[in-house]
Amino acid sequence: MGYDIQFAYFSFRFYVATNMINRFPIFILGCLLVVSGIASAQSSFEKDLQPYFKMHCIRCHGADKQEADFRIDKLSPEVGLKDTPHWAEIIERISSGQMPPKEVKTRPTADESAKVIQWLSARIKEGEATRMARRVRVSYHRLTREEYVNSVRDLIGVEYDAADPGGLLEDPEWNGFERLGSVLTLSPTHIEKYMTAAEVILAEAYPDKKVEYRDLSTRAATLRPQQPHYDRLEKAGLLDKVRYPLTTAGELFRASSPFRGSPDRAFPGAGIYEISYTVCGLKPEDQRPPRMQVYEHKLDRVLFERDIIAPEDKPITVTFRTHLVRPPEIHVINIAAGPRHPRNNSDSRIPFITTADPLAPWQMKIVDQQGLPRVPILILDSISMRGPIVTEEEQRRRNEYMAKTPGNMDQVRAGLESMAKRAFRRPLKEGELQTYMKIVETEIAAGAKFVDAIKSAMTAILCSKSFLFMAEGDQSSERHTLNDWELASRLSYLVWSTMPDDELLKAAEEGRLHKKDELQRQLARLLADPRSQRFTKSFPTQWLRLRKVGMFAPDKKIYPNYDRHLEKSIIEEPLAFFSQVLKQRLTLREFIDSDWTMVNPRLAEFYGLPPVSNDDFQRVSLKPEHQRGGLLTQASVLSLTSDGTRHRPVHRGVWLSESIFGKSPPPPPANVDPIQPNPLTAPKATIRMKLAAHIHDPRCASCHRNIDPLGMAFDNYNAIGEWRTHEKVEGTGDDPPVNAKGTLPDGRSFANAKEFKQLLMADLDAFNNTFIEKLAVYGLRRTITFDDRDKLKEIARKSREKDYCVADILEAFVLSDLFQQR
Amino acid sequence: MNILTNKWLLSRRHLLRGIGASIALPMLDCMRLPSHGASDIPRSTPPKRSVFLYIPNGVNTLTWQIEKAGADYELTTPLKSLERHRNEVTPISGLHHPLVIGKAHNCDQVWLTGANVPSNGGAFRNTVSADQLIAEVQGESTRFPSLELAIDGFSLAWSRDGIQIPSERNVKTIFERLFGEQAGGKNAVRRRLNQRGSILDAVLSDAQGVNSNLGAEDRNKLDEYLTAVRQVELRTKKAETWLDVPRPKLDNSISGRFLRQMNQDQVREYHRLFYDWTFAP
Repeated sequence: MGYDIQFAYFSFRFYVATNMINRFPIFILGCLLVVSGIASAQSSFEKDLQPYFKMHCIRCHGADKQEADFRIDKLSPEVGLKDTPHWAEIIERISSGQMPPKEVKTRPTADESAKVIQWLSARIKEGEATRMARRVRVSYHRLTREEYVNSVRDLIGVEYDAADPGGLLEDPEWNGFERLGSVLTLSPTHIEKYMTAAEVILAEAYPDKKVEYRDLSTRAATLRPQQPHYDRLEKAGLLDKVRYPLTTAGELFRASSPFRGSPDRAFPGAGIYEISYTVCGLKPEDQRPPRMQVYEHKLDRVLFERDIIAPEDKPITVTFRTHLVRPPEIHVINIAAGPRHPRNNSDSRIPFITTADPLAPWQMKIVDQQGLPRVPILILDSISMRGPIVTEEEQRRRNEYMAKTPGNMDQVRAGLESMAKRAFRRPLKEGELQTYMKIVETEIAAGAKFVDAIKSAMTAILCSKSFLFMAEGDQSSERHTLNDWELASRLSYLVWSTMPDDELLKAAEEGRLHKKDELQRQLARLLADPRSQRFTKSFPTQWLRLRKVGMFAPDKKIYPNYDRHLEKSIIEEPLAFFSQVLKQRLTLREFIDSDWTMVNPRLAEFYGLPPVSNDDFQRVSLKPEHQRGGLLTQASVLSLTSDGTRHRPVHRGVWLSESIFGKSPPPPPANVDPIQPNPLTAPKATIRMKLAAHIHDPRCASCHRNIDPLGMAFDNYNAIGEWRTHEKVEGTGDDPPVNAKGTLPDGRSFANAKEFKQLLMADLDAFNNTFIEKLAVYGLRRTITFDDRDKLKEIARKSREKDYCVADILEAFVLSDLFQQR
Repeated sequence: MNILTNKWLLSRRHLLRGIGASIALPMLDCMRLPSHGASDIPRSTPPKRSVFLYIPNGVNTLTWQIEKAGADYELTTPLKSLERHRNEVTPISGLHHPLVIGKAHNCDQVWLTGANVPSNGGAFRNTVSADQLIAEVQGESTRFPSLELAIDGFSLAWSRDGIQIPSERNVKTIFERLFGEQAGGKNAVRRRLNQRGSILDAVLSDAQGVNSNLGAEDRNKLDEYLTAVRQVELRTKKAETWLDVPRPKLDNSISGRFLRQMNQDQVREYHRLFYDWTFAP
């Protein structure tokens, strides 16, 4: 089933690689099992099952032929103890009627198949206890980069810029998920980075020199006496009315830091700063509004970006916060500005006061005769910065951990105990603190300053296994149920991606967290907190694999409409959509199809919806002619499955299969010829036509017929998700019309995406199961094993009972037995 | 792309054995090498280097394959630029990984390891990569046993435990690591390294307390953590031995190239910088 096209090699390598790890944890379980009491089972295996397999399976999945790279004859007959995931797969395929395939002449009777399934299922069930007993006693899940940053922030009130050069390493992912214990490995380089990070964090929390809070402002444009026009403007009393306009592409405003000049205006030191700009933004009719981008060029980081609409005489103030370590080097750019032209205002020496200045040569360039803007105009008045900002709670925590009186070891002990307890998210064990006290003593003996010695111990806390890993289970005994502390962490990292707060820790300390009503109350509390945005951002990103959006930058020549702003907007849409579904207690159906979506002005324009002016994501209703609804027709999903030049129906099919149906198709066989681009001299052909020719190879056809129709349903959308009726291709003749018809593996057929979505809607349970499984992978930080099936089914049942309400599914998951077990 | 040399892993194992950790190290006996310590003084003869460069997505091997062997071999078209070095290079053609044939989708993972990728989608566990084996032996003589660099994507280097050794992509960060002056002078740096040493000691002893009765699961995450901390401890010790050897001084015109702001459009220059690292250490 070679995947389509030229670039298949690269991106599918990626896909296949993750698919390998996919089965890894499950498989390990399968092969570590002890052989015991299987003698009777084996005889039955030979007598009852072998003939069935010989008759119906081995021909395609045996020594001679390995359809889909799958062999049955090599699987261990110790069913339930070995190769469990493979046997489970066989059960699944036979019971769903997919295997043996419909085309074969001699199909087994339903009875024969049922017998095989029953026998296999029973063995797998029997093996459960043995498999569970062989699990590791303590599971360690490393914090992801994002979780590390959030946890440090809550622990000591310092924002660590982990994604900056020299920061922490990117985390590996598995099928989009970034937080799986088994996948998050740790190398010496990680430890070195954690040490450096801890030093940076502690240096900011406990600076060597006292850091003053400063709140400074400056005007965007100031004139000095020797500059042209100074005298004229002084006479007219307009010196304080000079502003800085940004109207043409490539123009930068550089003077963004008020921390300049005399020593009392110096940059105070590392910390969080609040930055405000007073600005006006003039939007020309039928054009986009000016868009302000605040960019720290030394850090290569966009600090703030927003459409600005405000009349010249009524400036507005925009405010944001950012973490700064050194004096900022900020550029302000109007990224919606018009094209470069000669005689623009930056070349002119005439200070800008108003667009209506009749003296200025640029005046007619930026406004028309009525004084209306010709191009999006951004006008800067003033900048202010204040910081570093440390909240009372943050300062209280910092003080709590640090000894006040130099040399007082009791205070050191109390401080480190309080820090370690919070960092480890549990009470300290007997003698645990001693390790850290010893560092302080050794360091002081080696001549370190008192505070530095304490900081060394704090660094050790921040690099210790108990902070970096979430541990579940006991080393000394077999324990499969989480204790209250572990549960507090699991819940908190699920909803907030950070450590438990005081209230959650208190509930754990009092031993009430595992009680369902308390857990329910805490979940509701966590969800009501703004930090729950981390869940509504992180979970859909990982489930839908949104990090892949923009991985293949669309070709500017083919898709001139695509830019960074659009890319950011399309990534935000599914997140805002998910958040809306969760908060408004909507159901899973909305993900499949909906008569509304969440857009910002850029996206409304892109989708051809009525314009919206407020530069935030807002709910808008959709009409059938907009050709949108649900997640599947959002530009993000449609473009993450495309490459830079064209849509890729097979990838769309694989994505749907994984994200909606929860099935990973087997990897393509090696060395399949890619699909060639259409020769310029040949008649135009759609990808679909070329694909049809491609899968004549029977090795390919067996899988492609299950994958491709899912993707073809969306052929009406191009590589960046724009609607079309004809496929634009190179070649001679007219562009061929799109054919989005298809038939599902189960025989139901559809004419287009709309009908396809209706078919999905009619079979919501399949999606229900997938969604719950994805949620479980995210929440439990591990892959799902065969032994989780019954518990997952129970959650699926609750979901059906609640009519698939997403908020209820989340609650059912948190209250399930699964959530309280390792 | 990997630039290499050393023997961390082995020395680590010695240390681990010395402190009695019960971690299975099957390769140990056949890989015995002198232990770390006073003998670990930088050598004055130029160290041997090895560099592995990986080009993803493949090349047309038919145009690369050198057909005529022997001293008067003929370079193929893509290799023609090596012509003026022909007396210093020995091309080797026609290598392949017997276990990897037909499983091209895992190329970068197994390129230097040749590990078996199960074709049924089962558990894949990588093995040690060639560069790391070389580093175990050769790394003694350089400040850094090996460097893992990547223009894009992940590293090619895998430890003996089959764990991927992350790569660095940021030109500036790499430059600082190789040539950067450490703040505060030699004594301050030494003090800092000692401080790191005691911190590492502490986190290690804390983790070992738990690990004293490692179960049957041989590849515990805690083991991974312990191994990593141990290795950093050794790196720290090594950094101290190297403290007295000054870092090479670079002309501003050269360092400027590595320290300036780069953007995505400068692909050519970006690639060139990465190749230039091969002369740097």
